[in-house]
Amino acid sequence: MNRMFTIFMATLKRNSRDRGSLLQMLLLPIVIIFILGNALHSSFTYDEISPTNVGVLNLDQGEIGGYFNSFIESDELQDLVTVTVVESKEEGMEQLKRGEFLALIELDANFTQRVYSGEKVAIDFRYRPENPLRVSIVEHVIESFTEQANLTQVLLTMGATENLAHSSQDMIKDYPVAASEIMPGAMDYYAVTMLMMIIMYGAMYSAFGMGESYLAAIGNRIKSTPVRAAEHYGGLVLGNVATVYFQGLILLAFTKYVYGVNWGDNLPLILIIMFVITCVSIGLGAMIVMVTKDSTLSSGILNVIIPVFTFVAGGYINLSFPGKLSWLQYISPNYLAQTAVFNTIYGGPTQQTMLTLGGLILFVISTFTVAMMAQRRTAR
Amino acid sequence: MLLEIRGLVKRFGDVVAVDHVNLEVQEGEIFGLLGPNGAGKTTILNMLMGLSRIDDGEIIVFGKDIARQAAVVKGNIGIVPQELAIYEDLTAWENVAFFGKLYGLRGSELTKRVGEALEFAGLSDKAKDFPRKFSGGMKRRLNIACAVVHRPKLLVMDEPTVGIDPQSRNHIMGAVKEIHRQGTTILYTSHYMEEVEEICTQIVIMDQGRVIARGTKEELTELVSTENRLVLELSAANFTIVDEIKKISGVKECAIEDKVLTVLTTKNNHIISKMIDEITATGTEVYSLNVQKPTLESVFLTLTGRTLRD
Repeated sequence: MNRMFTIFMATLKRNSRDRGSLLQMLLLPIVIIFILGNALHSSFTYDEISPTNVGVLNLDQGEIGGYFNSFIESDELQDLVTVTVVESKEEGMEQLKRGEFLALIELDANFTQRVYSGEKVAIDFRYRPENPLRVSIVEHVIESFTEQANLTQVLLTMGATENLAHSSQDMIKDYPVAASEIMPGAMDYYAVTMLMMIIMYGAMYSAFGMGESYLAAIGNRIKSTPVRAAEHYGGLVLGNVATVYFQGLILLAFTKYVYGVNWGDNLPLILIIMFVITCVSIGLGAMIVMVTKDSTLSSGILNVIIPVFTFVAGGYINLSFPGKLSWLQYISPNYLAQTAVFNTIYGGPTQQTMLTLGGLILFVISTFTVAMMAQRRTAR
Repeated sequence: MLLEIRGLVKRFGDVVAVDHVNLEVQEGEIFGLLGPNGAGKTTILNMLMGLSRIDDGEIIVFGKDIARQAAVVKGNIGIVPQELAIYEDLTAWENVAFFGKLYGLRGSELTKRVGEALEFAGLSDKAKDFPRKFSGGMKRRLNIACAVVHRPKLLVMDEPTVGIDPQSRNHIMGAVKEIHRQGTTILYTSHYMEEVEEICTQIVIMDQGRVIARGTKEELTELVSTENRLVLELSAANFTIVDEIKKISGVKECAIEDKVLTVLTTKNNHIISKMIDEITATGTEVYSLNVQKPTLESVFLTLTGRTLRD
């Protein structure tokens, strides 16, 4: 462990003395965020969100099923959702796949019965992932109703007998779904995307650092000391992860306190996402340099794929790929991390946040596995 | 026995880089591994340092098998690699301390040893400087300081003088002798036969992955001492005498370039007087005569038909 710490500290010290890289990693994004944030300010000004198309399959013939129909089609929700009633699950799924609506809401036949029997209920909800913001609106609407249903169940348990119907306005009053509060401005948007881009560029530390300290003459010299391979590798990886993560923290703090960027209320989760994407970045750099055995070639490859990842993720221009091409964004670690961060800041679907985090962790495992395999192959 | 290599084999595809090599290094020796580039010297060192897998055979260091107890063995070996293996963005002190820590040194012991290693390398006054400001020779000396900071029992030096000026080379030669004087056994590889002749107490000559000769310098040169190489400086370039000299019994080769006549003969002093008679008979004067003693270069030439730098 002591030897791993020695390598870790040396890596950190060397990286901190690399002024050129530090300037590139810190100053560049600060300037870009400022320029893009101001230049594209108008593109991120939302006066109004157009209603989101949802499909509704209400199989519940009971009292609460009736309330749901009234709720979802109420005047108060007309600005948020446009409802298409479907007759069967198959029909609904088919329309969802075709993109005719963004989400399919389903109330099962026993919904009312389950509420009155004291069971805690939830409404089944399927969605297309390409627009997390709209998905979060639909999710809030459903949560409004199910919370009311569960409240009904509690009141019944307590012996209440009065009419349980509430106005839909009452139901949504606790959920701030105004556009200005749930959508990022240009500065907020680019602070996130540029942070992800710059963390991904941290892969360069890995490509050059691992190339020099693991594969080249110094690496061989270290291997000829009593250091174990895992200590050697671990020290370098952790040193680079710490360097890039620390740079990410500086950027986050700068954008938060100087540019006033909204990083939301759940900062611990944002920091976890940042840590995971940092591991992705270092793992990617390590994998490429271990496979190519050439730091310069690795740097060239990274200089191609990182801008591609950033572009696909909408890092430069906010974009989403239509229909069948939407999967393209999921190959970009930037997109996964951005989605997780935006969901965390703006209250997007928690399930999607966890899925994207899981995708990133899978990415980390894959890159380090390939890197280790390539390293073992070269040790001959 | 400090180091014992038995039946060592290393293959790269169809190429046998090290072919059943046996070596024994006694404690206190400066053991020279001499051979041209590609002879297999560095490949042996790579296997010794655990950088390359052993295909066959074994390496025993301090009585321990390197393949099974690498960590224990490595702790007592210092490596001076052929390529510079120092960080340009760590100071001289930090470089030496870094490797000292990897060898397990800590606290005041580390501080003391780093200071000693830098002093030994003549870099005490450059301790806080970055190697990027150093000359090639200074970097080479720092390279050595990093290898001796933990006072290894065995110091492996792989061509430590490649690409440096004569002054730095002399400094390094002096350093090697000093390390040896302090009791460290040294395994020294080079393709510069002058260096090996100057410092090594035991020498192995390698070629194409095989050991072709071994012994002390005297023992090795004795192998080719059945011949004399005579170099004569003449008053004029007389090409007609070459054929006459070749007719003398015992002359193996004869060639003239400008006014210098080079003759390879069997060890027979009568040949010299006959040769001088033949030359003076043509009216050419002999200004000087030099009987060259065999060197490791000539040993290698005799054994392989090639020079070390071929």
